Amino acid sequence: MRSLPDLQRSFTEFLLSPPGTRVDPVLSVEVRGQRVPVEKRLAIYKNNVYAQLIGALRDSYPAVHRLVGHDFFRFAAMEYIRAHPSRSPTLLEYGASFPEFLGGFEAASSVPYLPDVARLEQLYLESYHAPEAAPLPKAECAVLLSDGSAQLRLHTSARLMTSSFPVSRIWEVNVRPAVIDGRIQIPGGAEYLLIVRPHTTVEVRRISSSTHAALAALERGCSVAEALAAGTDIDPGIDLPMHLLSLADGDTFCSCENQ
Amino acid sequence: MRNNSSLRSSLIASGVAAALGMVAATTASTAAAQDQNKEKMEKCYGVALGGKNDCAAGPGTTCAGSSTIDYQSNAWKYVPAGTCSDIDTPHGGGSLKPSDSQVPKS
Amino acid sequence: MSAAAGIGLKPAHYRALLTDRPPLGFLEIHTENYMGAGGSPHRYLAALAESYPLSFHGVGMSLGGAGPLNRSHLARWRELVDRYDPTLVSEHVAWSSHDGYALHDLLPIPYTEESLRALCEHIEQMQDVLGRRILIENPSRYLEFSYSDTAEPEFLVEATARTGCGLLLDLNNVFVSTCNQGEDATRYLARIPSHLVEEIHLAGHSINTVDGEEIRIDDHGSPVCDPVWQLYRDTVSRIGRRPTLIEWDTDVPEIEVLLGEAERANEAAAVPSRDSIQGNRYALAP
Repeated sequence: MRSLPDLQRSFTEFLLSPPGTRVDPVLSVEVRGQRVPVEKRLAIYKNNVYAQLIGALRDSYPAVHRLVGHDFFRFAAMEYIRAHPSRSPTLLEYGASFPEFLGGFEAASSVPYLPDVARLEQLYLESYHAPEAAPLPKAECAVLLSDGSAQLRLHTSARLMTSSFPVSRIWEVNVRPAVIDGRIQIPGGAEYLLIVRPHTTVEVRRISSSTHAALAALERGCSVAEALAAGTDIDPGIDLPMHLLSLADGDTFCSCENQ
Repeated sequence: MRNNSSLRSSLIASGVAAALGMVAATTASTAAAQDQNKEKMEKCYGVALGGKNDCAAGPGTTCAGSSTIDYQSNAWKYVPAGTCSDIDTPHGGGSLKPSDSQVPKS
Repeated sequence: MSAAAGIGLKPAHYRALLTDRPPLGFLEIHTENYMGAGGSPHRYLAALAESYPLSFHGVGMSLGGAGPLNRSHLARWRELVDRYDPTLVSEHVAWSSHDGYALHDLLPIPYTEESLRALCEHIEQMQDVLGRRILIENPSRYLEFSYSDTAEPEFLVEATARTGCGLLLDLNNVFVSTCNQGEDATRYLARIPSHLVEEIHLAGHSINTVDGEEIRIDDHGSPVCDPVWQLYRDTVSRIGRRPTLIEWDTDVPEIEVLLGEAERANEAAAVPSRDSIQGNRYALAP
């Protein structure tokens, strides 16, 4: 008989080992059960561990799942789980590094936009679970925009993203219930995205590169003047304050006091 | 360059609107009422994503071939096979042939 | 809290519950599903909490773990309990984490004095942090440890005696575990004193065949089976009605199916079991 910590260490090693790994002989002597062999009984627990984690990834990345199909997704998920076992008792955060993993996953390299779709889904989830914060009224936003030294805070649920693929369109057709009918030709290239949950629903908004640059500067803590400069560097002709005001109408900012 | 209205556009909202349009055209008024209820509810509370921490056992378990852990670790068998085959991007991407790296190394 | 049966709260049923407010004794959540900071899950839960008592049922505390409890997980639990003030609070007699790795399954512990000490220390810590008593649930088991020196019912009873916690008696788990070990569920239940039981769980399970032998898997993916309904009638007729939950976590059906199962539980609890009138074969200890 081993101590409880030793037993649980050995059990954990078995659960996290690759499928098909032989059971530690000491462990197989310590457990028992009538009729059904010990190895099969232990396999039930191992299956449960992987099923939970694969299920969590599938829930978090429905568009990725649909894009590559179930068998490939399960294969990718198993590889990810082995490389990145869960460290948190809640599954809400599990898989945050899955997009990065897919970026280096050679078997998925024939779908070059896959890591970006995964990143969009991860940001969607972050926004979905983000803390509540009252949006900044448009009038107050206008006041701040006229003061170059002011700080304008993005809403707690706001996330920014860029992709060299039409990632939001690919995502959109894969999370809608409608069946994809025939080949999808996606025009256009790079996308600049704002993902935000001003009230209840997470919205994925396509924005211009200059608006994205301004918001990214605000996210870094730059002043309004610096953010406007970052945006107009990219597109000198743009009326950036007007664009930001229209975003305020969509509740993209929150007041500093809300922290 | 995008105008104001596209700046404010929400893909979610357009998805809901499209779904509502389809329902109105094809099904009875009860279904439309249910969808309106759904839209109203989602306006108040948001979209309900599934919970992940559900303590049930996984499916299949010990049945041969149905267990999650009954999988082939030879990577070359696994090729992306979902809707990605229906999507062409300007950068390519519909190619589903196994790359050299997926062929088993002997 | 009313004795009417409750159901596990599933996001797929948020809208139906808010719209129709069907009569239910309570709603039970897996606490971990509400550990995000904000957004829809909390909006729905807060709205439903206005109509239904809540039961918070944890799946990740690892009370049976050899190592210390995860303090940040405890803190998140505390925040949620403070925010929603649930009527019932429960966790499992199992371990699910080791050395920082979270395994997300309810894993079995050997029934020894060493395990009991670890379990009781953790129950006390959870009760201290939450500032209230908890209930502990008997697990579904697919194996035993050869060196366990106590049977599960006595182990559970001793844990309640040392910590003052109550029992969440999962009758499906009792049935699954005893069948898987070739034991008798009614003998198991006879060793659980009635006053310790403060909640009952009912669920469906599946039967798998391995090398020609059956093993029952607690997958919460089907209606409660007839033998478990019989155990329920027998239990209620001896200990009285308790808050009873219909659990359904895999292939979650339409809400009407769950409401039907809850109604069946209400009827089973209201009508004395014929067996119990005729004899006392399944008597629970007083």
